Amino acid sequence: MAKYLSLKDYRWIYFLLIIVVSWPLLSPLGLPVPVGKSTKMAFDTIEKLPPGSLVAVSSVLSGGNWPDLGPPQTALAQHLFKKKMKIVFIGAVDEAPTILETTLLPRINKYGAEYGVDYVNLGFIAGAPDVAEAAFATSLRKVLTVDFTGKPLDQLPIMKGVNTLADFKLVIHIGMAEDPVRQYYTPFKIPLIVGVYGMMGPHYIPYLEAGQLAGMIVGLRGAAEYEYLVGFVGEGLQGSDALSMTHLLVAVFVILGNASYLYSTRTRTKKEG
Amino acid sequence: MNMLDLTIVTTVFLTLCVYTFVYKESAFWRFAEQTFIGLALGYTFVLAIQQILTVAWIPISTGKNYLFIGALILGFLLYARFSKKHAWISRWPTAVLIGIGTGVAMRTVVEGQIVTQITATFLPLVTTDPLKTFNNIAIVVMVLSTLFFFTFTGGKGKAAGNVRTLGRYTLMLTFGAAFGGTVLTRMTLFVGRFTYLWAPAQRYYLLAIGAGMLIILASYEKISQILTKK
Repeated sequence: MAKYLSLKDYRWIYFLLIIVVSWPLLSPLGLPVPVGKSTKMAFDTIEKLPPGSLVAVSSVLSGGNWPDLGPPQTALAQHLFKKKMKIVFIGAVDEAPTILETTLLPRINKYGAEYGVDYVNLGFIAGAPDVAEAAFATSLRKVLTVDFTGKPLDQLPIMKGVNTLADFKLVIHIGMAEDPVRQYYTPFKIPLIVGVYGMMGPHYIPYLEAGQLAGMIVGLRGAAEYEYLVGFVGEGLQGSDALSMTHLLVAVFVILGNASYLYSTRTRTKKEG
Repeated sequence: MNMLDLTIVTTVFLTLCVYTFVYKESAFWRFAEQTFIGLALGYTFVLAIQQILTVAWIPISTGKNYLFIGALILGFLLYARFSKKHAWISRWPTAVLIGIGTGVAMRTVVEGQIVTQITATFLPLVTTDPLKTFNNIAIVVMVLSTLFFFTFTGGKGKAAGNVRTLGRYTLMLTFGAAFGGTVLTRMTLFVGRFTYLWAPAQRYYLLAIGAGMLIILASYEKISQILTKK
């Protein structure tokens, strides 16, 4: 029995994974996407803001984490543009501004927003995330003199009168949640929404329950929920079926693995006893 | 006839190169690995130079801020680590970096991650919503039992042992959720990549390049087997 339950060659798992992922991509299953509390909170927070509110979006987006963090940031940016907010994008890692320009912004409808007036890409601030975020929040004019295109901040209408995070109505951070709670929420008490890695979701629920987060989008799954609320079909909804199927496959392997372990332990105990 | 889209060819080829590692380490995998490292280093180097110019050099050269001279000197001193004789000098900028990093991170830790979190644990144990009541009781009991698990002095006997066991189970539940979440996030990365590869614009490139790479890998393996036998 244990022989059948334990896979001798791990490559079978990868093979099954490819089958499970390709199936819903070839023929969508239309599995339901129930919206979670944290996603709804994020959506409601943006909905309640008046059009034209200044929103900061900082992120640690890179090519490697795009599948998990790209869809949440895309869905949030789409919502912000749809609601006619003034958006200031800033990168806490070097790849973030480039990914924003080449991959994220071309995918969304900007509803006629004008660069420099309605949104701006400020590039990135060097240093560890905590230091970069603190510098952006407390003295952005000292660490940033030009935007990502090299244009001086003084020449950008959107940056007029913007000196610290206190000038923003909302801050969104894509990455982890500890550092923005420390550098954005705690000193300024500005509503903070985070888009986090799928694996970090359970860790950050205490911040949500304590009222330090105004909403949280957890990985690709959270992005699917948010896209559903915004009415935008992006990578979240496209990959939702495949993701559900992989979760199901993992659950089956966990059950089989435990069954195999328990069976082999019992057999060994019987033999020894 | 459409021209070959070199961007798609490159992304599909490099993605498949990385995925060949799932089967076994190959020349394709090593090529993708080294290409990635080279590109990442080049990109970071250019951005770092750009950052030094815009943030430090321009304010210094235009006389707007001379304080950045100190930062540039400290940055330059980091290179002393390449000389065995002068490596100790690089400890100074390292100490400044660690000091600033720790100081900035710690200044709001007490309020943001200790006081607020403790306050949030003071929950009503009876509410009108049965689910909320259950959740609140579970949170309070699990927090207290986990804290008790790490109390090594006093609290002996069967009852204390049971509380510690509950604390241990709480920790195991947390670690299990963290591990499960990590596995599922890796799946997300794969789903994201596969969704891109399987999209109509990329699908035929995937099949053609994938078939080509498979033939090369199989032929290489066969030839290696024949040569080894000889």
